[in-house]
Amino acid sequence: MKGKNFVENLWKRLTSIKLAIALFLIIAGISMIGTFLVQNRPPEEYIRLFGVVGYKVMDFLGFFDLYHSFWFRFILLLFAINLILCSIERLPSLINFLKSRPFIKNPSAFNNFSVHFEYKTDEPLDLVKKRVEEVLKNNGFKTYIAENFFYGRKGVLSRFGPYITHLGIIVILAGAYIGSVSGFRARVTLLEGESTNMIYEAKKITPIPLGFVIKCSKFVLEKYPNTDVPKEYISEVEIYEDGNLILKKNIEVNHPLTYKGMKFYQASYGIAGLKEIILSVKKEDKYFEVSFTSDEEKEVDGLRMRIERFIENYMGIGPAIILSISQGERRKTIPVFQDKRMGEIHKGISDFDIEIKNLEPLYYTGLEVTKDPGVEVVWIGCILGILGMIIAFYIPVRRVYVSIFEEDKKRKVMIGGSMMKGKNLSFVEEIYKGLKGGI
Amino acid sequence: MNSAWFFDRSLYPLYIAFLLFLLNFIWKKKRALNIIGTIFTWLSFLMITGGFGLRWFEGMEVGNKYFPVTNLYESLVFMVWAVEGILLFFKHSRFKTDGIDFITLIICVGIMLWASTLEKEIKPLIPALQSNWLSVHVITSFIGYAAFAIGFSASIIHIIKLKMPNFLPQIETELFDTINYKAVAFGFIMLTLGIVTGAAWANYAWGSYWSWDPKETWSLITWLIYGVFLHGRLVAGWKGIKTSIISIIGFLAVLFTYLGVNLLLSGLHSYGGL
Repeated sequence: MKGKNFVENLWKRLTSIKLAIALFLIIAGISMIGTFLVQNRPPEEYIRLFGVVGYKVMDFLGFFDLYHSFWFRFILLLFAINLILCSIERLPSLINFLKSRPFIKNPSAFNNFSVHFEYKTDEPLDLVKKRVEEVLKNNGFKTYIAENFFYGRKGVLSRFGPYITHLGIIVILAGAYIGSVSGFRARVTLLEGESTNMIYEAKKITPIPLGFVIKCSKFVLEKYPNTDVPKEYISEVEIYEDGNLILKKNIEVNHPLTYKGMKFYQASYGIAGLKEIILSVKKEDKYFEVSFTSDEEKEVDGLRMRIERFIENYMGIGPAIILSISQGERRKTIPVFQDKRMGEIHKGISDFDIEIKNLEPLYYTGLEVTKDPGVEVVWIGCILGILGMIIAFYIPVRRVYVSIFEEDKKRKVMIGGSMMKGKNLSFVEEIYKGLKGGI
Repeated sequence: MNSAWFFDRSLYPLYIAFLLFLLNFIWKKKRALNIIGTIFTWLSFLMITGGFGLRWFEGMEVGNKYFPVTNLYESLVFMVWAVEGILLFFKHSRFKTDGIDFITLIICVGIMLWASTLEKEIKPLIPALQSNWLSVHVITSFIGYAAFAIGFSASIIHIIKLKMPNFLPQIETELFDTINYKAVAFGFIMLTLGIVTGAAWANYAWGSYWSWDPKETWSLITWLIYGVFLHGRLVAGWKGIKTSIISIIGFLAVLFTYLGVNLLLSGLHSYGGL
């Protein structure tokens, strides 16, 4: 007996609205802590704040990765269980509602409705019954009849709204679980022209084999005209399988590439070196153009030049190359800026002028690679959740009762109606008018 | 005359509407004041509507094709537009909004005054902000926030009315409870849509639909608070003071989600000042 009491008690607790509301607040509270205590920072930062002991205790309790801690997951699990059990608990009342045929056989009961009508008619009973059935049907009511009593209802779907929403939330949690168990998140960095068949997960040494080769053929940084505002980062990639080109696609921010269940996102970019550089050299009225593709030495009119290196941001001024120039025994190393306005810095130090005519940087692109088989499940859950809410909030459940009584050799028709989630009972009057108008 | 011109000037009819509703509230039952106030609210609403249409075109000139709700200034103005729109919806429904209207409009005036101090220039959008999901995300979120603002106003009046029953004799106390519920229910759907479309956008831009970024987390907290409201009211049968207080707390959470997170915490949303 005691055991049964315990089970009953537990059931009561697990299905109580109090627990549901408590869980709402607990999840909100923990989430709040996680926004004030910055998560997933290096240990040093936390040790500075809380001391070594404090750090160890809090780390053990998962405070620095709250949202992935075992107890936060436990609370989410409890939340899901509560949701499922509450739905089961309330199922009988829904079934009762669906099964109930509350015909009103007592004329005085109609006075309980805030809106009710009645009228008398000489018409024969069969005709009146036929008309009631018709009018209720035309008004969209599913009608049940027993003798001279009618019960109609409309918008029953609304009662399923909360179930659909709660199912949606369970589906979302399931999708998130699938993602956390069988998904991954990795990074890959490719130089223009480079390719790979391996990606690395953060903080892990063993690579994940892709099963195909991804190549970045080109990276393009597009800017808005006459500004420095980036408009688009584009990685032109190619996918190869067994040496055959399968697919060519541009990966842009907001436009990832999906291939074999994996998604490739544009995450970062940078300049790794130079692809080609064309220098224009002016030497005593003579003008030359010299093109470099590597650090080879080029000679023009007795002037030997070599690019030592490329600096993305030299002295905080901008992109520049370090050029070594020699002529006979004279030799010097100078910076040449891409920005031509910076020309005066090296002008006048020699009897020649050098400008960068064209500089094509060699970009690298950083791609985020994710696999999340749960994401579609999550979207389905979201759609269910929202659909259920709209159904629950905006489809009113309307019930109408019509009963025919014999009185003074006439038929007295009584009409009453009620509504859940709303007070607009004008439909009762409409039915009344529909019935009376038919006479 | 550019879009900011319209936005700035929509404040004048807003002021007038606020004053008329306030007078209506103090003098009680002056129909004319209510009608003229409604007309001025409409005027302000239409000016902002026109302003947004214009701003969309202005944005196209610098190469932005998306609906212009991409920075703090635009989002604040959009929120005022949404609050006015929902207030007008209630004004034209069978609900009386006496008292709610002027509190709601003082919120609008405050937001608009603040917005007028912000950077109004239309700038080209950085790549992450070029997304239709973003537009839908901002629009749904702010319509939700606006509905919660109405719920907040109704709750304040409701509490005053409960504490001082003789305060607004012409209106039933229950009406505020109903308006509060209606606004919160609608806001809840919109907030949910906002969170979901935000997740979809994040998934397209960063490959993760949920990363516990402070803004996301605070939107979840807000969602949970209003979840308590709805379950308390619909399942546990809470009414009156209880639901009003939750609605007020919920709106404070909205404000924190919207503004506090940007001012006090850091995360993905930090660009665009939004």
